[in-house]
Amino acid sequence: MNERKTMIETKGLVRSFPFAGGGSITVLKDINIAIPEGKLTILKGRSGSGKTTLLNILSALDVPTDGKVFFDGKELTAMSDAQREEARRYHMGYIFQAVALVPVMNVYENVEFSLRLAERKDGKKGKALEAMRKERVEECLRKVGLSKRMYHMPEELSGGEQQRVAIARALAHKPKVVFADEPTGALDTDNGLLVVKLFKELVEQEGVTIVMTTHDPSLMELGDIVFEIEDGEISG
Amino acid sequence: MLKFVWQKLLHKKWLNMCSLMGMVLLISVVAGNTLYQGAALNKLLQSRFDDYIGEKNAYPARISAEYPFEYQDKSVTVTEQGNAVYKSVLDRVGNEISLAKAESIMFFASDSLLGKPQYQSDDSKQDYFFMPAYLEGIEGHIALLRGTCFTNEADEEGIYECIINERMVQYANLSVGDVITFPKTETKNGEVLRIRVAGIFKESDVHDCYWVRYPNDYEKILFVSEAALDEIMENRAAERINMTFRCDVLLDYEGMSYKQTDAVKAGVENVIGNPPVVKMSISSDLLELLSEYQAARSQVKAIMQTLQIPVLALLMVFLFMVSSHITELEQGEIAMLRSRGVSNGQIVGSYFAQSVILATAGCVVGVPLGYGFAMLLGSANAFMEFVGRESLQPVIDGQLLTSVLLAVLTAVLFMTLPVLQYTTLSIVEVKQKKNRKEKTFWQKYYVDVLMVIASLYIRYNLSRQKETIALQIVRGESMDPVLFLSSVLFILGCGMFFLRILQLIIRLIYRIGKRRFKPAAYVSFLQIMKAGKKQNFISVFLILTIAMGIFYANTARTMNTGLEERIRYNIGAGAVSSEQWANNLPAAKKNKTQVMYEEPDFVRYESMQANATKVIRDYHVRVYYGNQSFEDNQLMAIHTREFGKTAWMKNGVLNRHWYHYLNDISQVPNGVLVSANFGEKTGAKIGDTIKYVLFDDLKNTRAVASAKICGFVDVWPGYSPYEEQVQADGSISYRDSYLIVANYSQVVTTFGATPYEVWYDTQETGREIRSKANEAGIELLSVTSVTDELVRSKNDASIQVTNGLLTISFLVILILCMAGFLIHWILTIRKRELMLGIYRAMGMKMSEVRFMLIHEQIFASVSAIVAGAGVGFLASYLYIPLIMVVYLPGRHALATEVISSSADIIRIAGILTVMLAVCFVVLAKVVSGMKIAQALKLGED
Repeated sequence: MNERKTMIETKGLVRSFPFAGGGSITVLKDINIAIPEGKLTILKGRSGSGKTTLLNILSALDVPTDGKVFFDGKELTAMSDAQREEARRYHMGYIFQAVALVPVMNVYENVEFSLRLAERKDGKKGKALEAMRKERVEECLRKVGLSKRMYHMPEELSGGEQQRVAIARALAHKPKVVFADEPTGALDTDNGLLVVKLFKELVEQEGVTIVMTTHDPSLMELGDIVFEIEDGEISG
Repeated sequence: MLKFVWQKLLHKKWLNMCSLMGMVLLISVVAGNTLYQGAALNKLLQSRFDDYIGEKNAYPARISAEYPFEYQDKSVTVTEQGNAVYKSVLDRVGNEISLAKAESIMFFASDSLLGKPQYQSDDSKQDYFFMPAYLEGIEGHIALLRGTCFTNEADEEGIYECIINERMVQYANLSVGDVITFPKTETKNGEVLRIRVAGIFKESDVHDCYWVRYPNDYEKILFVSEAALDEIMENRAAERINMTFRCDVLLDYEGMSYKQTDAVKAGVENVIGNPPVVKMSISSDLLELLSEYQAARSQVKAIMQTLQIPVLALLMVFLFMVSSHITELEQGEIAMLRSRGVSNGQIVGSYFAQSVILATAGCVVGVPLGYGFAMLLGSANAFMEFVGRESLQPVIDGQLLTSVLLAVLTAVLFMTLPVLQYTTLSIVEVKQKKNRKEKTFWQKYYVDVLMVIASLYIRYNLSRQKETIALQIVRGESMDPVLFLSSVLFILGCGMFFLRILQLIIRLIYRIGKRRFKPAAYVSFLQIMKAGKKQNFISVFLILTIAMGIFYANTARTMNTGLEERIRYNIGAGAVSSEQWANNLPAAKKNKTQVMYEEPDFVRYESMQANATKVIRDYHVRVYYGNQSFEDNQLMAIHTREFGKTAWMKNGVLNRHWYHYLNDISQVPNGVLVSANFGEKTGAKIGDTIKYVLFDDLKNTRAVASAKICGFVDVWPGYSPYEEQVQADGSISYRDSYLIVANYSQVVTTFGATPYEVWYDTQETGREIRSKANEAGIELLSVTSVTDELVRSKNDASIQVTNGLLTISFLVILILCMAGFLIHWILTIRKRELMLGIYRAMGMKMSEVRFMLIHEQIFASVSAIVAGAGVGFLASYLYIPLIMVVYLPGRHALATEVISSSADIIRIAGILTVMLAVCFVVLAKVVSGMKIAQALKLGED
């Protein structure tokens, strides 16, 4: 097996939240991890262990109190807001625990929207652009097995189907990393398992890096790398 | 349960505060209107009495009974017999009419007797007749000018004493001490009746209602004491004597409430219809006065009820909207309660209890606020204008309770309704229903188009019947609510129709620009297109409030300006006065010659008012053109220069500035301006010659003038082209009346001195002008002042009620518009926080999120605001001329012009600016304060 390059790396990451009445609580304590490219990495831990906080920091949604995060070799923690926005827009994909499809868009539009967001000004224009978008959206939906439900509205789909649309959306613009926060949290065991298996396939076929959090021990064996977090520290 | 409801209320305190605000507004409007209605109707009633006094100079609430009394039973004294009849009248009035008696007076007179005053020589051929009479209580109400009051009995010589009024002094040249001998009236002991004049009197107080008939109204009467009349009558030799019995009962009209009117009227009718004594005739002007009041009352009531419907409906819609928001937010909770076995009844009950608590709190604040509204309504002088005049005294009664209760019940119903859909459907069904893409009912069945068509059809129909409606209003019938409500239907229909069009436009733009749109624009278009019913609802609400605000303001402005212009136009100048000219009428009558007039000194007028000019006006001019002649036309003879400076003329109603017309005739000595209707009727042209004739007071032809037509005018200060004619059946028709405007000097040269009016350019009241005239030694016959008429018009109950209600409605609409919009907006943005978090997580820039929200506002709100303004003005131009039939019913030379005041538009714009500013501030705060991670967390809750 080839040695993969590191996609994300943290050094001495600390995150604490101040209390309204003074004092603070430290949720993450000195986290040092390295996430390799093209693997399914699982952050495992119980509720309140700090895994979502860590994921938010890794995915540039939140900033650490202390420490550094490197994303594809660049220091995320040193970037301006605009640069971080750009990183999110072009290089990252998101899947949330609560299915977060745009309710006023149908399946196709939801997936297409992330493409629109990631389009560069100097890219293709007009019909060529439209055709390219269509091709990619259809491809992504095919991969998650929802080609036939392209023009349905989100509320017409089951929870599992909605989550698969979210996956397609996260992948559409070919991000370097897809972050998924408890993607199986709202699903039953079978559907949850299907989602993680889908992740596994995508990692293998698309070569994308996926970082997900879960508290479900049964899913862990599917991860290439597993970090267990306990009380804000990496325990295994 | 109560605790649970209370906690629920506290949990959504802001939304519930909004409900409370709606409730308070609703209750205060209802309470205010009810309180004000009573006050306005009382005022209307009293102003009818005042008008009667002003017009007839008589006591308005008088019941008069007359009875042809035959005196033959001499066993009882005559006044005792009279008093019995009198008592029967008083009893009947007291039993039938529930008003206190202010005064009652009995008058009892003998037959007319030939009398010979002392100074008359025996061979004098002048016959005088006198009636000895008793007027109850006269001694207490007179001031003696000369002499003393009568004694009760005859003196040793058998001479009785009387007092007489000043008129008698003139009639028979009597003075104090004169004895009148009645040669043909013998007394029992064979002597002739003699009465001495003891004194001459006048009323002690001119305002004393005892003198409901002035002393000088009594003709040929010798007022004697009760005992004297008894003796005189008893001693008369004749067996049967026809006497005059009359009594006046004055009712205390000042203490009369509007609620008593129907009963009082019925009572008066009963008294008149069933007099207590056969052959007695009873009359009262009160009957006609109250009938007129009833007509005016139904007019005022109709206006009040009609004008408040739209604002009440808006308030209900507002409550419904807020309540829908609350239940929507609580749908999860409702589903949870249902799943735990709480019955639907209990759930609805908890919402009902919530509404009742809010309604109770609403009453506590709303009723006193309503009292304030009523006071405010009472002091409304014009639209959005209040004066510190003694405002009306609001009437608190059972009606208040009834209307507030009714309002509360309806409001509670509207507030509980939204929860029903969540109790009948499962939460899944609710979600499905909400997200179903099916069109709303009105869109599917084109209700909006139907509403617009229906309202336009009603308008078309009413316009065709405008003349008839106007005549009905002139005759005193009350307004048809459809006149006003059709405009509201139009506004609502148009608002919804606009929404339909807007959606099509947005869809079109989306289709065209879909590919090219930047992500922010793309999302905002999808959001607007698919946001659905809620967004539609707020858009219609915005359109409706803004359009109605503008429509109300324009209605009020048009009415007030129209009334003011008509007053100015009808009077012609700031004030117009006339003076009695000396003439030789009696001699002319005798000698059958023309009446000659003597012009008083005009310098006196110039000394009292700088801008005063002579205007001869005659309404009975005969005009000849070719071989046609026309009777009863108007002549106005003017000094062109002074007239131009003094008279008031509306700009822009003639083809040229009216000064050009004045110049035209000033250059031709016999030049005249003729009304345009004359030109249309006869085909006369400029340069043609007409002849006209003036008549004197005895209808003698004074002279014939020949004049050259210099121009045609269809409007002219003081000129009405339509002469109102009341037909025998009470209906009203109009006759064309022609006008000739001639040069003053030419008219005077042709016809000699002719009485003129004096026109002033002034803002003084009639009273001020009269007092100035008195100082200048002029006794004016009449004065009409624009200022007086304006005050009178503003105090007219219908006008005042309309101004007050339109103002209150306008204010409430502005508050609702702002509150409704902000609530909807802030709630929507809160609901979308998760979505915004997702957009941000996906890398959307802050600026893009802002752009997206502003873009949405422009399409959803700004377009609704613009549409609201458009619909408001459109409705104004289509419907206000129709509604003005109620306020300006008479045909008039000045066409009704829809007026809109920039001040009102600024007010509306100001409110909208504040509203949008608040909305953007909230937006900025929400967006910039948004922590993406936290926003996302919202989604997990």
